[in-house]
Amino acid sequence: MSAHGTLTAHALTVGYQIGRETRSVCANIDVVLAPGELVCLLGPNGAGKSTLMNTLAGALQPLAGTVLLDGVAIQSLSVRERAQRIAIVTTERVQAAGLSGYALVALGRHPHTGWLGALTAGDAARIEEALEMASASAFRDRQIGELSDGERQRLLLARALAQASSVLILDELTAFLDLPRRVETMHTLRRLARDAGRAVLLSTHDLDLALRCADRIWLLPRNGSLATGIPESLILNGTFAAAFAAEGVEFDINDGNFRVHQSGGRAISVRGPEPTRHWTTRALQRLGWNVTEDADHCVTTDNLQQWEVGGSRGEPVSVGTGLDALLTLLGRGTQ
Amino acid sequence: MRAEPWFVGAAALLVGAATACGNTDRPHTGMTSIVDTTALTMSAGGNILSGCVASFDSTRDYFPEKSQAVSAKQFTVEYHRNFKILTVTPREDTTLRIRYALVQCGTPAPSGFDARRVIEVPVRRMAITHSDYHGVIDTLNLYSQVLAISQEKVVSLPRMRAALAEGTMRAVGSQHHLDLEQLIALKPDVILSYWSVSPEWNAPAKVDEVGLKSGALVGHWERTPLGALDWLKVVAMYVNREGDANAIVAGVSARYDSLRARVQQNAGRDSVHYITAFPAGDNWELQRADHSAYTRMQDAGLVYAFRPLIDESDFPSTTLEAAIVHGSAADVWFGAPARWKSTADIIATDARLSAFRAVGRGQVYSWRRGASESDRVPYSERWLAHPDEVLGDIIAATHPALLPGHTFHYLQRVPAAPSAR
Amino acid sequence: MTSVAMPAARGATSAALLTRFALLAAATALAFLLELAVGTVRIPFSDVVSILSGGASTDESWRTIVQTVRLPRALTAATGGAALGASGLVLQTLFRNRLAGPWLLGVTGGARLGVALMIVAVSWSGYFLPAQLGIPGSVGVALSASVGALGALLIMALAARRVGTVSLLLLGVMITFLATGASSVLMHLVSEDQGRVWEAWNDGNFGGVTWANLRVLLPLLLLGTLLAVALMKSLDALTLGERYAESMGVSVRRIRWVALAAVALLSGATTAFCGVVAFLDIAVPQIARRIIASTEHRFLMPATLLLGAALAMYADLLAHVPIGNRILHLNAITSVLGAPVVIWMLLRKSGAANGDT
Repeated sequence: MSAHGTLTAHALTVGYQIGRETRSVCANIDVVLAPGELVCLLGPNGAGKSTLMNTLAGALQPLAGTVLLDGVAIQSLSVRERAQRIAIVTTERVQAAGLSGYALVALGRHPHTGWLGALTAGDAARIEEALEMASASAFRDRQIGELSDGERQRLLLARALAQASSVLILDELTAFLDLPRRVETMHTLRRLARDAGRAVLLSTHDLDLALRCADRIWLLPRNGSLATGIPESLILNGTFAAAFAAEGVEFDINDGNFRVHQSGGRAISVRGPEPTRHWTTRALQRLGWNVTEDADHCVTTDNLQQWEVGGSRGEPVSVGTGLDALLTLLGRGTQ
Repeated sequence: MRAEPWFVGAAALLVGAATACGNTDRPHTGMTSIVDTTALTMSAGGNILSGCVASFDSTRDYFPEKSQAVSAKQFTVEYHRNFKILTVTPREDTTLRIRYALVQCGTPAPSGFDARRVIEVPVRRMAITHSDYHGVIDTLNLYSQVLAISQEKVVSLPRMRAALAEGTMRAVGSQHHLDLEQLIALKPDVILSYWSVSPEWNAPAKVDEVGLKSGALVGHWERTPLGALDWLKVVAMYVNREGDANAIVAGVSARYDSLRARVQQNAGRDSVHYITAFPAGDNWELQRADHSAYTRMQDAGLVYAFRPLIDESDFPSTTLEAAIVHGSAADVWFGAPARWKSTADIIATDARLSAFRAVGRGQVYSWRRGASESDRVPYSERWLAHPDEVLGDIIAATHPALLPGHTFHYLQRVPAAPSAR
Repeated sequence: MTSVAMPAARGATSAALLTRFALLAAATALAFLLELAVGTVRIPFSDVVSILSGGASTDESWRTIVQTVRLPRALTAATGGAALGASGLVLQTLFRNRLAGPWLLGVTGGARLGVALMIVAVSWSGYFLPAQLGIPGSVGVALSASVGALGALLIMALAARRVGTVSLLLLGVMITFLATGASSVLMHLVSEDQGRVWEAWNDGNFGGVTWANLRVLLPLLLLGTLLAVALMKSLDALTLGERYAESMGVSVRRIRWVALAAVALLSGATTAFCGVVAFLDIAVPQIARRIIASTEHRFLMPATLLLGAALAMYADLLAHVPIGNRILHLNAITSVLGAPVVIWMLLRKSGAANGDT
C-alpha cells in the first residue's frame, strides 16, 4: 500500500481531443509523486505540461494507462474525495468580480464544509494559516479584480493550501511573482513537502530555482518522453543539456548557466582570480567572443580590475583598468 | 447542518397561503341576481321587463315578443316557453358555436348548458365593453341597466358622457386591461364584449373564475350593415325588449332599403369610384370585401377602385404605387384622418398624394363630423345602430341629386382651402 | 463598496447581515399586505383581514375581490418575482456574467415559443382554450414553456464555450427576436388579430392568473426554487470556473443539468402564466449583492428570492393602480426601474476593470 498522498502513473499516455482528432502529448509515462517531495516539472512551452498535470489531477481522462492515488484509480474516486486529497492551481485567469481575497481563499474549504458552505472556527483557522503561508494576508479584504496578477496568484496558492489536501498540483504558480516572492514561495513549498509531508508538483520556467529547490525534476521535452530524476543527476548525465539543446539553448554543465548557442567568434583566454574571471568571461561571451583555454590572445585580470591583453607569442600588451575599457578595446568577437 | 429559519418560514408561508385560500376556483353562482318577487313590469307585448316570476307556469309562453335574425348570419335564436337559446358564431367561416340559454328569471334553466352560459333575463345590471354598441345602448335607452362600458375617452354621446360624469356608469377597460375589481364591485349579471377566435385575447380566464358571465358580441363582423344592425336585437334579448328592438330595426331597415332602392333606380348612369383609408408609411390598408362597410358602399352604388388589389389575407394592404395606379382616377376618398384639416395637409403628408384626383376635386371625406376630441367620434359609436344615416351621408356626398337638402351626420368634407392652425 | 470580511469568519452571523435580512423581509411583507389592501375598489383593511381569516365581510363582492383577484395576483407576483430573480442569479454564476438572465439570454423567448407551439398544436386538434382548460391545460402550458426555455438554455450553454461574453449576450438577444418572431407567425395561424396577440404576450402581467393556474404554477416554482437552493454551495465554487469547481469537489456535469433544469422551470413556468417580464432577472441579483454585501450564495439566494418577490409586488402595485386614468404596463415599470441598475452596473469601474461583464 502506498503512503498517504502518493500519486502514481502507470503506462500513462496523456493528450487531448480537438474535434475528432486525438493528439498525444506524451506517451507511456511511469512516474510517482510521493509525499514529502517537491517535484518541479520543466519543459518548453507547448510540450504539454498542463495536459500532464491536469491528467494527474484527474481533471482530464488519460488516453491510455492509469493514474492511482494511494493505490486507488483516480477515476473511481468521487469528485469530493478527489477534492479532499488533491488541490490545484491552474494557469487560467480567474474572473470573479466582487470576490474578496478572504472569500477566494475560503472557497478552498469547499470539500470540507456542509451543504450550505458555512465555515466553522476550524475552517477559519485553516484559512488564516493558508493566508499566512502564502504571504497573502494583506489582500484578504481587497477585491480580487483590483489585485495584480502576482497578488492574485498568492491568493490562489492560499486557496489551494486551505483545501488541506495531501497532494498539490500547481501549474506555473510563480509565473507572475518577482524574484524575492518566488524564492519565498519555493521555500514555502519545500517546507510543506518536507515538514508537512505533502506531495507537491510544480511546473515552472524558473530553471535556476527549480534546480536548487526541487527534490526531483521531471523534464518534459517537446516530442520526447518524460525524464525524471534528482536535478544534479539529470545535469550530470546530460539529459538536461540534451533537452534544451533541442530548443537551441546551450546548457553549460559546469556552471549551470544557459547560453544561446552561437558559432564563430574569435578565440580568447581569460585568466585571473574568481569571481573576476567568471564575470569577465561572461561579458566577453556576450560580445561574441569564444572563450577557450588556450587561445592566441589572452586577458589577464586581477581583482582590482586591472587587466592586460596580450598574445602568447610576445606581442605588445595593452594595459588598463575597468571592464568598460577592456570591452571597448576588444570590440566584438564576431568579425 | 443547521436549517436556516428564514428558509423554513418562507416555505411554510408559501405552502400555507397556497392551500389555505385555494377553494375559490369554481365560479360560484353567488354573483347572479337575487330573486326579486316584487311586482313585474311588462312590455306592451307581454315580455317581462323587470322582476322575477314567483311561481312558474310551465304552459305559459313567457316571451310573446320575439326577435329573429333577419339579415344577420352570425346569430340564431330559438324560443322556448321560458328560455331562449341564443347561438353565436364568432366568424361566418368557423365551426365554433357558442350557445347561451337566456332564462326567464324565476323559471328553471334547461339542462345541457354550462352554468357560465346560463343567463337570467331580464338582466338588471350589465356591462358592454365594446364601443361599437354604444349607439345601441343609446337607442334602446339602456342607461338604467348598463353600468359599465370600456373606455370613457371614446364616448361622444352626450347622455353617456353625463352618466359617466355622474358615476352612474363606469369605465372598466376591456380584454386584458379589464378592471376586474371595479367590475366585481358593480356585480353585473352579464358582460357583453368583443369575442375573438384567439382565446387569449378574449375576456381573460379571470372573468370566468370570479363568476362573472360574459356574452359574445360579434355584430361588427357581419357582412352587411343590416346584418350588423340585427345585433341590436341580440342586446335587447338580454333585457326582454324584443318588441322595441323589432320596431327600431324595422324602421331603420325600411329607411335603409328605401335609400338603397333610390340608388338602384339610378344605377347605370355613372359609377362613382371611391378609395378609402390613407397610407401608413408605404403601407396602404384596404377595405375588406367581407366587411359591412364595403357592402354599404356597394349599396350606395359605388365602385371600390382598389377592389382588384384585395386578397384573402386578414389585413389586405397594398403599396402607394399600386394605389396610385388603381385609385388616381377615383372620384371620392373616404376615411381621412384627424390630422388632415385641409387638402394642403394631404399634400404635406406626401406630395405623391396629389396624384389622386379626389384631392384636386376637393372630394376627400373623414368620418369625424361631431368629433369634439380626437377619440370622441360619433360615427364610431353609432354606425352599427344607424346604418341608414350612414348610407344617407354616403349617397348625399356622392350623388347629391338623389338626396337634396340632406343633413350630414358623420361625413365631413376636408376643405380645399388651407385652414388656419 | 469594499467587501466585508466574511461574517462567518467571525464565528457568528453578523448583526448587520441579520438586520438587512430583517429589513428585506419586512419590505416584502409590506408589499404583500399592500397588494391585498390596495386596488381600484376601496376596501377597508379590517375587511381584508376578516376575509382572509375566513370571517364575514361587509360586502360579498369584496370577498371575491380579495380572494379571487388580489390574493392570486399577490402570490403570482411574489413567487414569479422570486423565481425570476433566482434564475437570474443561477445564470449569472453559471455563465460568470453579470448581465446573464433568462430574459436577455433568450430563455423567456424560448418559453414563449414553446407555448405558441402548444397552442397551435392544440387548436389544430380542435380545442381552443389551453390556458382555460383548468389543471391539464395549465400543466401543458407550463411544461411546454419549460421545454422551450430549456431549448434556448442548451443553445446558450453550447455557445458559451465558443464565444465571448459580448457575443453571448447578443446571441441571446437574437434568440429572443427569433423566438418572438416565430411565435407571432405561429399565432397568425390561429388568430385573426395577430397584432393584439403580440402585444398581449410582450406585456408581462401578474393579474391574469387563476387559482387553477396557481395549482400548477406554485408547485413548479417550489420545485425550481428547491433545486436552486440545493445549488447554492456549488454556485459558490463555480464562481471560479468549472475547472476549479471540479477540483473543489463539484460534479460539474451534474450540477450544470440541475442548474439548467432549475432555470428552465423557474423562468419557463413564470413566463407561461405571466408573459414576458423584463429586467427582474438581471437587476434583482445585482441589487441583492449590494444589499447583502456577501458573495456566498447561502445568503445571496434567499436575499434574491425575497427581493425579487418584493420588487415584483411593488411593480405590480404600480401597474394596476390607475395613474391619471391610464394603466401603466408592468414591463414599462420594471424597465424604468431595472435598466438604470444595469447601466450603473456596466459603468462602474471595478467591474469593468476586471474585464468581467
